[in-house]
Amino acid sequence: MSTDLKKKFDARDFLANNIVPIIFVVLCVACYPLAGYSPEYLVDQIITRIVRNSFLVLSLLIPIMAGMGLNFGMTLGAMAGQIGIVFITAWNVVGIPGLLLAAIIATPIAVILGWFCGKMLNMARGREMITSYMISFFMNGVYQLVVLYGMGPVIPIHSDQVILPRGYGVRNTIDLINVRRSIDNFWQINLGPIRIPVLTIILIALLCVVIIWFRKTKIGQDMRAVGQDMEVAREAGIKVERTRILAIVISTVFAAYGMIIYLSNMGTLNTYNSHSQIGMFSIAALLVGGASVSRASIKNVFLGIILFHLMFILTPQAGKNLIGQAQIGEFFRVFVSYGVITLSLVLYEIRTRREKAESAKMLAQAQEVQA
Amino acid sequence: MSEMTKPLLEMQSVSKEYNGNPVLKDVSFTLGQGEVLGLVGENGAGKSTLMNILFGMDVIHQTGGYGGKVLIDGKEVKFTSPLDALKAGIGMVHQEFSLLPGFTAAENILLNREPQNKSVLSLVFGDRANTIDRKKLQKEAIDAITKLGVSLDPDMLVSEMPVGHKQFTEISREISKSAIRLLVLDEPTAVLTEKEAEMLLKAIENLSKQGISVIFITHRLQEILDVCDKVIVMRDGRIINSLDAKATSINEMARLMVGREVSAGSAQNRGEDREISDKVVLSVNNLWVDMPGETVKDVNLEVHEGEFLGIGGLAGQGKLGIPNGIMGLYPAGGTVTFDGKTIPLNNPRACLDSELAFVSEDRRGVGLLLDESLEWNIAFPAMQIHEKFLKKYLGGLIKWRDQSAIEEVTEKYIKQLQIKCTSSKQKAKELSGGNQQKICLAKSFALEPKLMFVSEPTRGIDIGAKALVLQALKEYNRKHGVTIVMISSELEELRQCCDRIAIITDGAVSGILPASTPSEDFGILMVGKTKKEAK
Amino acid sequence: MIKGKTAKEIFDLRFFVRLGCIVVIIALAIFLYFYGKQRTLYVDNWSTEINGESYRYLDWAEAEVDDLGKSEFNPRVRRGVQLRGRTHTITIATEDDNFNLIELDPIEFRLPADQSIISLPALVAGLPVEECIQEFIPEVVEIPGVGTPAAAAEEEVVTEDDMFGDMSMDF
Repeated sequence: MSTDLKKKFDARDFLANNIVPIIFVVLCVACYPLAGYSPEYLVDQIITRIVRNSFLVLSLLIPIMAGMGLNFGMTLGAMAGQIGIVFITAWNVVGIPGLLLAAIIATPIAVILGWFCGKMLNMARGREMITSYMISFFMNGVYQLVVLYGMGPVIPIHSDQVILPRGYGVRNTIDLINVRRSIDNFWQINLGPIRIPVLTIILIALLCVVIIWFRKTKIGQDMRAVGQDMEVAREAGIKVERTRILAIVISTVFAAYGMIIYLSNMGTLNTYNSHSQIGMFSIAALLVGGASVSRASIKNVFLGIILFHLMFILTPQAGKNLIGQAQIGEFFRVFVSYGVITLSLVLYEIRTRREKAESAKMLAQAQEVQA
Repeated sequence: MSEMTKPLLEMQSVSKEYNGNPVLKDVSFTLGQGEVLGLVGENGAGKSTLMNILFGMDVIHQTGGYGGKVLIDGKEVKFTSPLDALKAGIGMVHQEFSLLPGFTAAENILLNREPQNKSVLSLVFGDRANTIDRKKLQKEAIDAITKLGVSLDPDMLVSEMPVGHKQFTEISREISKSAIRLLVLDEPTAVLTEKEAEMLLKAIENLSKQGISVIFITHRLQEILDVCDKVIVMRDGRIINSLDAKATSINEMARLMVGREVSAGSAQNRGEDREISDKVVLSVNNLWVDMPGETVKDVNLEVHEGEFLGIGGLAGQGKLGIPNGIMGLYPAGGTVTFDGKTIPLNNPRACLDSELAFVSEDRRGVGLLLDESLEWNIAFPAMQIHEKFLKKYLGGLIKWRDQSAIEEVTEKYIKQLQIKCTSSKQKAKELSGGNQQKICLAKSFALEPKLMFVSEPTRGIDIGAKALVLQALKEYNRKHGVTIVMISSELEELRQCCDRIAIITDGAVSGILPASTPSEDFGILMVGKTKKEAK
Repeated sequence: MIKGKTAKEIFDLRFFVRLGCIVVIIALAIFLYFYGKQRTLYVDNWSTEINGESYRYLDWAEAEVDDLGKSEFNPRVRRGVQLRGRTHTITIATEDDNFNLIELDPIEFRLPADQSIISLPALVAGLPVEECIQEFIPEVVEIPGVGTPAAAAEEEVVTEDDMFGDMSMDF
């Protein structure tokens, strides 16, 4: 009888733990017939989006492993990547060499920003997520100051393609023809209408391997320890503060590289908006994949991107076909993105409280056993 | 032990004071290699302070260091940090587990000392880029577990372990540190089942045979007899006696732990035993409370009307959990009946409505509104619960604070309890600890309850104020007929004021005796009996 | 400066490995910059004047830069081509007055600037390539009434979009 109880429990537990991806699957299944896209189109789109976004979403895994929650500060990494792209566009360095150069330029910037963010988060223990959220806002201001006023007079960039007509400040949108789809086009296999960019996939696979290997290292073990209980880790001699800062720095650098891949794939740079969108969407995608504030795996990354973007593609068209207004779908996107983050945070809190109550219940049960 | 070999550890006239208060006086003992030393004493006797000194904890240096000498192998040492102690081969296993729940036993045992495989990347990124050698990790963990002689699965996650296994993991961790020569175990059996405790005692014997000395701190005197070579009994910061474990008895140890010289505040002053009515006003059945550190497992009590009941026991055994659980501050279960009515648990308002009051031991956290004035603190609960000190208009629709009534009642208590303040409007946080405690009492008095729980009323207060507080409580009980249940770790104070005293050990009542019973008998109740003795 | 380490310990193997890595990366960055930078070259079949000498345009020519494909050049044609890297080759074939095909050997040259112009007539006439190629500065002609500089400078920069920016744009 006790095994039956365990089985029932597992089904309910499964539902409770994976409620968010399940909702999304239901949503997508409902919208698919309404939207009327062909399956090949969808597969091609999904592949493109996986390729475009996985590097960014994968960068979120490491801070979660170190117990620092969702790294809203990945926006800083995105900014570093964008600055790299701005430079190579101004210098007209094209193709894969251009992207490599952008990565080299972005790395020290990302390291410094990540170090700064990590130091701040160490001071705000227990409130990491809201702090990183605020840091991203603050850095957005600094970024805009640099990019809107510093580029040109202080930082020497003179390309007409990049700089505004007034002589300083970077343009709103920059067409990245010089690096558009460079990595993708390098080696592309076509299955009918479906394009498969092999090199990019290899890069992403490489990052997955790095992340898996990372867990096996001493630093990975230290991060897992710090993520579970900082005081215990500190007592054992692990340098807790340094480990946490390292987690954020690594995540920021990966976010910078991810942003470069993203921009190369998109082909357009929205100088003042891309980075903040990216942060929110990547986190939402990860949560949709079933990750939580304290636990996330590579499976969550890919599942999340697939589901989140399916929703993104299907809902405007479904909304249009259903109600006659494509706008509905777009409002829906915003609603869902914020909503899924809120839902995950609330569920996480509920689960923590439930576990506390469970331990109290176990106490009562132990009592009955003794009696 | 020949006279040629120096003892592993020797303490000579070690003393320590905090802010002029002597906490340890003239402590001297020796410990040889492979010896098991038992350390017993009430809370506050100085055991933890002594271990803190041995272990080089910060709290010792930051408060002026210690007096006397600590010698290892005959040479004086001055540990300035736990790392120094570790290097000298001393390990300590605390009561609160320092384990990571999501790691396996093996990972915890070798935490931050994992064997590594060098990787190329470590040349660039530093040593932490090395991978962990899992095979070697398992092997070293199993070595430590075998050395300890317990059965522990190295792959089990700590979060899934029963408490006993967590204890063994902790100890294995200390043992796996290669230089270990002395292991200090602080109340290791407090959380173990009987079987697990037996395993632990065998493990201690194992260690002793392998030449590792053990200092074993416990309240279970039977265990001392089972496994120790020597016993030190401490009381009030001194070593009362150093005994040979083979030659002593539980009674002797208990007596030494608890016995006191006659002093002014002792039970001599309590007066005669008085008649208590037979009517049971509060009945507690199968109470359990989840209060971290003071877990209550199964308490059954009957409190008689008008009585002054004391609840005592050693720290962490559950006595503080009882009032906190009944009054709804921590999750609780069981049945509580007051005045014939069942009191719903986990509901502080219901208790207050039923005219139960509680003066918490956590003055600053639970007892007071620190930023508010005296008046507010004293009058507020009565105002909230019983709508006292209010002027009602329009048949109760509008309720106005009756300022003059509030001032009147505040003055009354200021006088009665001699609360030292500049005025009734002074903010609570500006008063001394003793006066803050008096405000908490006044607050409960103002509620005019039928039964009052008072938890650690004289903690942190000077002698003069202590006497006043206890006097006020006695008066309240005798003159106003309020039933009082006082929880305190000061046995002598309980014996001075109460009619009966219940002792809580291991989360349950181990006995209730009239307060005039000699202290040693209470001492035996406090240290608890193993099942062996109970038979 | 660094706690508890002697000078010998600081300058150990790891230090040099790290230093080496940094040097390699900087060298790589510089290499990428020059290798990846894209410049425009205008291949020009106009009459031109160099050092006082006039060179008439070719009646017909075919030129190829770097294996990028042959292009035909009629008189007064100028084609632009995007080139990466510093050294390039140009292969020219032309006809002389008797319609005989003259094929010139591939000529190596370096681009002097981001935008350069190379003169086919001058090359065919045998001038050294360094004199045939120069920086290309586009003329700025003001067209009255259209797009005054003041108006152009007013391009708005939108920074205050909400968190999600322009949602209709695809993500």
